[in-house]
Amino acid sequence: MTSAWVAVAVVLAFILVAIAGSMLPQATATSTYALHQWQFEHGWVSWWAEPLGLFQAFSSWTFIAILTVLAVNLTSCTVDRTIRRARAARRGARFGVAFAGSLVLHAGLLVVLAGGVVTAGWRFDATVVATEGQTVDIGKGEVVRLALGPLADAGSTPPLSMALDRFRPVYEGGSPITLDSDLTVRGRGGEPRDVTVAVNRPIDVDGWRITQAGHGYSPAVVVVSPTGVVLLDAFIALESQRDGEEPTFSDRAGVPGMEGWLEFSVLPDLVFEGGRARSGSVEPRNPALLVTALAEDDSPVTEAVVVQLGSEAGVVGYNVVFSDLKYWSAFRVVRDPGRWVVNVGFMVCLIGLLLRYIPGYVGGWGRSETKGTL
Amino acid sequence: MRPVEAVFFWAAVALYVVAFAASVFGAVFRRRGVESAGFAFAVAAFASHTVAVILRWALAGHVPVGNRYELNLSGTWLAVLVLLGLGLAAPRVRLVVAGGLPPILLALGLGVTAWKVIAPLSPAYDSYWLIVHVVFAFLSFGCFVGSFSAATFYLIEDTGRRHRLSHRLPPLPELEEISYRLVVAGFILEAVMIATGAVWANDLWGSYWSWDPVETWSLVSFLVYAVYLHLRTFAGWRGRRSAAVAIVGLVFVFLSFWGVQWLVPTVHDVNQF
Repeated sequence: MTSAWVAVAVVLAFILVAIAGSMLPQATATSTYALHQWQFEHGWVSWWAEPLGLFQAFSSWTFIAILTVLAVNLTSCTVDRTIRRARAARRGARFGVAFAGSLVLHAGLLVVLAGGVVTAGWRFDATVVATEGQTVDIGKGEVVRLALGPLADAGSTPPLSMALDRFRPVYEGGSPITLDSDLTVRGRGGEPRDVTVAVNRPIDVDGWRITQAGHGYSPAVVVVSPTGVVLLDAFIALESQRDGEEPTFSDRAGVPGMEGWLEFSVLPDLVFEGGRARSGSVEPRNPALLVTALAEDDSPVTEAVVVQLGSEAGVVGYNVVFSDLKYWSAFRVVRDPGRWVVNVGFMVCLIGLLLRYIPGYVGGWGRSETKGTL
Repeated sequence: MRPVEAVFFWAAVALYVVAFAASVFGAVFRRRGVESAGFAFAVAAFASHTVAVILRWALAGHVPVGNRYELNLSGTWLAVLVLLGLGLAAPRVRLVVAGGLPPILLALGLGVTAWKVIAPLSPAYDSYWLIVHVVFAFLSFGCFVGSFSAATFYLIEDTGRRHRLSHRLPPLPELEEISYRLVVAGFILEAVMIATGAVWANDLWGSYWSWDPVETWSLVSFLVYAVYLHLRTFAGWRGRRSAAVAIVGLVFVFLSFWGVQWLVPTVHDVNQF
């Protein structure tokens, strides 16, 4: 374990798993159906990747084993060489700045690894979505995604409620340049606090970090059956999807009593091109709702209508009213006790790197190093 | 790309090509004047490149890092700055500088084939951390390109017989040392790049590390150079083996900067907000 060859072998193994993890579809980021489909189509890959856990590469036993061996190797190499160097120093040899730098660097790497362990074990990470005017209470579990570290206290859900008062995008040339969410947050004390969360500008409330994580449109839709019964009357937070450079906003909704589905897409800036409706930008200059009727097997029914804001239209006998348009905003609410450990580790690593290599630079070009120093 | 930008961009590309050709031609055919002109062409290309960056900055109204074309334009400018700095500090290794131009041209080519339309800076990119992250990324790229070039010339030189380039290259130990020192510089700069990227990611996504493919490949390329340094220090890998690892290292850097995002979806490709 004190051999540098072990370190090289472990790092190479780490590289192989990391490459596999970045190239293979990961269970954490792919739907179960899509993952199984991929595995079926690439059976020869699944044959060896599945047992190694490479479809969840960064939480697989393979990866954890590699990191464990790496940590043990780093520790044993560092301790072993320090003892040997200290003995040599007692006999009059120099300890050396470069050697000290190497020790600091490897200690920093251990701190980064420790921070990663703390993050993986104790992290609380929730994603919440709110439409303008809506309040979500994380304490009551109103989250769309929750990732808890296995060692995190299950009862550690923050007593945090967030009301999205207003979402304020600023557009330039049809593209957003700022995305600010005005929130009223109630933390542990229950006192309301007005805050603004923006992209790259998270806020901290009672130790919980709130980050802007996405936005989209919530059209107010009313669907009336051919017999005049109101089947749906709600704001629908449409998923933001990417199709090339511009995002699109669409989702489908099941309408009670209707065979198949209705798919709603917001066209924020309605333009007609060659008789086809599309959005000229993501800025709501001329909002419209594209409603497409889908059969139960997802194939589009021939009928699709464009409904402009404040108007209504019929599709497969149903009347669709597009009465209002609001924004929804998504936030990540995170408590990560490992963050500071990793930051400290990074700083220690950088100091170690500079101590390790800068003295060699000062020595001038053409001076070779002695083989065997850490 | 506006016509005025295109003039300076393509002039820079043409001059980099001429600089490389003149340097190699001058060295092979022992025309000292042509070889010297090669470095002068590289400086002229850099001047034109500088104007192209400034024009883009002025036209876009923000630091040119908003899309892949702008990133490559500004990033390769930093990388060439490193190479020219090396050429000015050590005139004896100017052929190594010329040898770094083909990867720079490849990076410029990858940039110019990407989305080039001038657009406002996305909110995700409105962060000082981005500037720091990108500057360190491409300074490290410049160092790794220089190391790649020195390693390539090492392998050419170390064929056991004298050839036409021998008289214009430093001795083998010096070439090896240049490659090593550039790897060390690039390694430190890449470490800063990864650390600042993690700090930025924590503000942007609420998580300092997400195992996004680009993040992962940056770490992979960093680790490849860590292996290079360990093999050199502990196993005494010098010469051809060490040069081979330095060359492989740049392949990983190219894959992490440009390859991965064409192969798999990544949050580094487009703004997700």
